[in-house]
Amino acid sequence: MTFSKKEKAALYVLNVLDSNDNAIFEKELAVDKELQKWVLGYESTLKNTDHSFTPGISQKQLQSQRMDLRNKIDSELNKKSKKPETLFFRSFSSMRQPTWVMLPLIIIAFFIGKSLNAPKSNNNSKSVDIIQLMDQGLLTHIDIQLNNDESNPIQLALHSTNEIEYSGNLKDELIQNMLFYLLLNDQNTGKRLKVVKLLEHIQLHEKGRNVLISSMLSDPNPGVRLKSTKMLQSYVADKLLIDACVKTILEDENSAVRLSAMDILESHPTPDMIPALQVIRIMDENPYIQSRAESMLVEFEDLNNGKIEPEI
Amino acid sequence: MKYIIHIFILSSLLYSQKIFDSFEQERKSRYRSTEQYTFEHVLDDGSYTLIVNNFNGDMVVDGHPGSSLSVDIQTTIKVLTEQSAKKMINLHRVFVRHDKDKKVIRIDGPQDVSGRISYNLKIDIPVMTNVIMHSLGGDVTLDHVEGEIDLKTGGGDMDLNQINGKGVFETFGGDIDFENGKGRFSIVSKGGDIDIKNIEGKFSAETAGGDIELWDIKGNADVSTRGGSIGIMSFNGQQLLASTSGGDIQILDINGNADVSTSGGDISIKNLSGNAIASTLGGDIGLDKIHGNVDCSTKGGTIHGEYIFGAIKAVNHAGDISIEKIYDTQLKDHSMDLTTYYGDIYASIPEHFPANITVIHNGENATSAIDAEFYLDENNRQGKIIATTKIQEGVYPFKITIHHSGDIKIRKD
Repeated sequence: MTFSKKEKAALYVLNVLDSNDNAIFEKELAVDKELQKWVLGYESTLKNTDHSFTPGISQKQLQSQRMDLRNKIDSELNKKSKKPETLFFRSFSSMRQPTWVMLPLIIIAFFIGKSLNAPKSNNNSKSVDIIQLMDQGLLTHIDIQLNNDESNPIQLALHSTNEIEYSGNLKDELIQNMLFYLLLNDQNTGKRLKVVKLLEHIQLHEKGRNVLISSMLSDPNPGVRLKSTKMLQSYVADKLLIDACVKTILEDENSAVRLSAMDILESHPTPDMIPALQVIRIMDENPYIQSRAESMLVEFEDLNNGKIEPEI
Repeated sequence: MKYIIHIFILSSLLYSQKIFDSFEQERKSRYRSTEQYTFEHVLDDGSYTLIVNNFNGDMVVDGHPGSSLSVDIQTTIKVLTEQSAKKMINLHRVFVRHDKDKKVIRIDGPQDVSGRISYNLKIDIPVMTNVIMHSLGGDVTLDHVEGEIDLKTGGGDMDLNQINGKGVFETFGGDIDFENGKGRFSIVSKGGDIDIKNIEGKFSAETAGGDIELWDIKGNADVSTRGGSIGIMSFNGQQLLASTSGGDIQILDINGNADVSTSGGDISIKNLSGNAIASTLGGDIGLDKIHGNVDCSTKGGTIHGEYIFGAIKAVNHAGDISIEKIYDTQLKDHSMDLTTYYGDIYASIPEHFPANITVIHNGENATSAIDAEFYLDENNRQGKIIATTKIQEGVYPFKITIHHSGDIKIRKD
């Protein structure tokens, strides 16, 4: 079957042919068995592809990831605010005591209380502030600076006032969480780019990888999306990443981002991609992406003795 | 009509001079075909044009002094049998034609795309040849060519070296490296980094997402990225324009006027002889050794300037400004105008700098917020403080304005 015929068939299935072309095509379809078979196959492909996209990275996924981040922050906050002395004082204060005992105790308690409430180390209190701000979604105007301190090269500080500041390296969980937060939430494109470039230096765990996926799918700036996509090339491609790449190829307006997502699919070929590749082969506006999808399908076909089926 | 086209193709093929044709099995289910063409009479005088159309695969074009042009096409076919491989080659043939009248060598890729065939093209051309290459996709390498060049690829990197003349280079996704060139160039990537080194002339470079780096540029340059950093080192020319929709801009050793802007990111300008305009919608601005006038602004960040030899105008909406002024009598303009909405201003001026100083503070605690190393005549107009003084003849206007809050410190060095 010729390419133009396939193209027309695809347009027919997608219901975008005008009434005249539609009528002509339907006449042709009625007599051409090969064409009928292809149209049926394509319809089922679209169905499968739609189905495979439903659990893709959506706002829901993004939200759940943010919730995950916040839960983590909550647990850290609780850890920091827990004071072992509280229970002891509560049970002691609930007992009835004579005045002569109480008076010196009040004086002692005053000094103990003062020592207990002495200001803690700067970094701790500030990190708690940062966690609270992230938790409330209020962490904005954060400056990212790199300094010469080898052990803590990254400094994150509240813009201009420096009221909140935290230093650490890329292995520091709080630094990572803040960078993830900034990548997903900061309005300043320059800052998001800076974050992606910093994250390039470390192999992230699942949460970090999911943040990159979110960035690839939803960042408004093509430069940030491209960098996130390129970074994802070094991660194992599971279903989530593959679905995200397929979504990117089908929906991203920037051809470079789509090509980069195609690189990921090419380096981790799995049969799950076949329906999507069949769509990309026809629908992508860039002929180079079409031909790469075609080449991948050929590889699958060879692996499966000439058949292209998802059940390889 | 079809008949006429066939006759035309056949007559064109008569001109092609195939000198080598090979076919071999590379490994199981993989065959390789090689075709070579040579055209001895292609002259090295700029009269010939190489046109490549509809090709899908990597292309390498090398220029050499003297006449003759050769084309080397390698085709890889992934099929089970030799017979099928040969059939595939015939179905998806690359045509090479020589039109002696028009002085054109034309290479046309196959009409239909097949996932079973991939191509590599290597062309040796006389240095002075015009080149028009529109490829469907693949990396392009172009080395040592002079003439009019129009290079487009649907996706892939471009590696350009020693190109003189007029050139348009465009990729729909990929990095572009361009080294050693003279002329007028337009460089576009729909996404990818652009690195340009040692170019003389006038050029524009644009990427829809990626970093841009320039080294050793002579002439005029206009570079922009929709998301990425810009780094420029050693520029000698009239006008340097650099803008990014998000990312840092760093420029160093600039001899010429620079106009740089970012929608979000830091700007650093170091060692500039000329005038500079710098603006960021959010980020720091660092200025160091500016032998000329500066006009800079940020919506939030800090502005820090050292060794400012000429005039300076700086506006910061939320953040501090600190400027260390140098009085170089060879420069004409030494006016200073520093403004913040929320933020401190620190200025250091030379001991005998003839300034006509006006300090305006509209915010709270204005009186206590001003700290100068010399006497200022302060007037309080309904909470708005206006303080003035003249140092020596007071030749150059020096204005400091704080609209809402911030402290002012002025020191003499």
